[in-house]
Amino acid sequence: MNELDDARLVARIADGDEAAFVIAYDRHASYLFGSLVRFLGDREAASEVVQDAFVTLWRRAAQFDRATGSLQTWLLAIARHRAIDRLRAEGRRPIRNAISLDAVEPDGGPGASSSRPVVPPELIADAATDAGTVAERRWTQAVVRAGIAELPDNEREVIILGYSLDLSQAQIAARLEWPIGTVKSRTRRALAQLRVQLAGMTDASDFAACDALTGPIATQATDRPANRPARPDR
Amino acid sequence: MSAMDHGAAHERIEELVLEPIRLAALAESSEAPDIALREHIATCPACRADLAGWEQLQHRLSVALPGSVTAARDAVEPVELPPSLRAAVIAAAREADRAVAPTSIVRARARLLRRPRPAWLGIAAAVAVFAGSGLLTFDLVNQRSAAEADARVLASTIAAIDRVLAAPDHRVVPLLDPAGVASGSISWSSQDLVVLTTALEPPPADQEYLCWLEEPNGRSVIGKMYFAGRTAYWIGSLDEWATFRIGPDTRFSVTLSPIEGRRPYGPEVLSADLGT
Repeated sequence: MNELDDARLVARIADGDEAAFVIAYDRHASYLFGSLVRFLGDREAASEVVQDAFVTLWRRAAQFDRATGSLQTWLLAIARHRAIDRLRAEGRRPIRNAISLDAVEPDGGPGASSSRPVVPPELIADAATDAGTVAERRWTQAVVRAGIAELPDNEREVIILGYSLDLSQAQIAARLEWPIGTVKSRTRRALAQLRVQLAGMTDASDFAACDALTGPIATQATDRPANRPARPDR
Repeated sequence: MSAMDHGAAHERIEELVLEPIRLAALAESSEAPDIALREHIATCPACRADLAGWEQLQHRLSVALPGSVTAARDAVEPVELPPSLRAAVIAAAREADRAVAPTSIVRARARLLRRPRPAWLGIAAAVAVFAGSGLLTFDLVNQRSAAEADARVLASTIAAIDRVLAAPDHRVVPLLDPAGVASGSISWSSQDLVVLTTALEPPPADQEYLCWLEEPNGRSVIGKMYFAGRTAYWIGSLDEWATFRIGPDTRFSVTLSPIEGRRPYGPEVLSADLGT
């Protein structure tokens, strides 16, 4: 059963198969928890949201429709609603502290780009930025970072160097003293995995499916409909 | 300039995505392959969509990673999942079952009752031997709520055994403890494999029971034992093990192993010769 794909696993969960439920947890909890810790900045709160998400899966697995996305996407959508609701209930904004961690000068290195902004302007929260938009941007950032964190160490490293310093494949190879072919193959594998992991993250169907389970996010803090996908970050 | 075909376009896209700067410069690039790619994607929706997917990923990565290696490494440092969370999630799911009508149990029970084949009685009796009073939990009126989730597991286990025993080529072999005492069973068909025992104690928090299949040239982990009440079980799908076949020399075993850093894998607590 460990080799079952997610769709069949969810079908068994819908039939009350606890073993399938445990396998789904083992398969997806780490990524979910990593995203939530980065978003909420609180391991305990993240644990509670993970628990909520999996209980929702347990109780409503029959509502899962693979046509609207993967199980991971579905769980992330549930968690996103829960986490944003939680922040709203606490009157918190998720972005301030997290952004301040990023506000450091590039540390250069061979070929480092000097044109890269210290902090992507889209992620800078100011007084005019509504909390809902900030939360969605922050959520996207948290999920992407969690996805990178799930990569094997050597694949994570090529992504960091490629996208943090904008190094070329040759520059990464020189810096890490790896053959260029190794750098390329690891980069390809990492990008392919990330593309699969992050696919559908902002699909309208993603949020629509989640809204059916949890109800729409309160719109008092944002002027856009809750079931519309987050707008592009940049 | 010759027109770029679909395969060449795909190769060029794969080359460009390796470096974000090159992909970002595609629109202005004067390199012949890039010009040809632009012409191709203008008329090829599939390649255009593929390229858009990569551009979206690259944009997300650029936005998510700070412009400092140190900060970036910190930002994507793996986060350890709390070891206790797994048990808490399972308990919460069981608690949720207590809070609402256990419709899935009702569904499972209804399915079983719709199939009053004589074989089912044999299956139920077999499981009852292993599960002790577990089947009593199917009485939805009188059962203790804490046993409901276990009943769900047993229902799915019965369903798996049902499939196994219904297959004409099924086999059943006893599991033996290190002293050679029968301590459960392993049954399989061409599609399913079910391991059941009541001889195992729940493992310590830092250990787990690993299931192995062994051939003369080595062994491999195929799963781990889960618990429903006093019954430990593992259910596998043979048809999804792409390369594995149970042969005359195949042996099954269960070890009590550390969860982290599994070597050494710990003592063998149960075994069965599947070829006998």
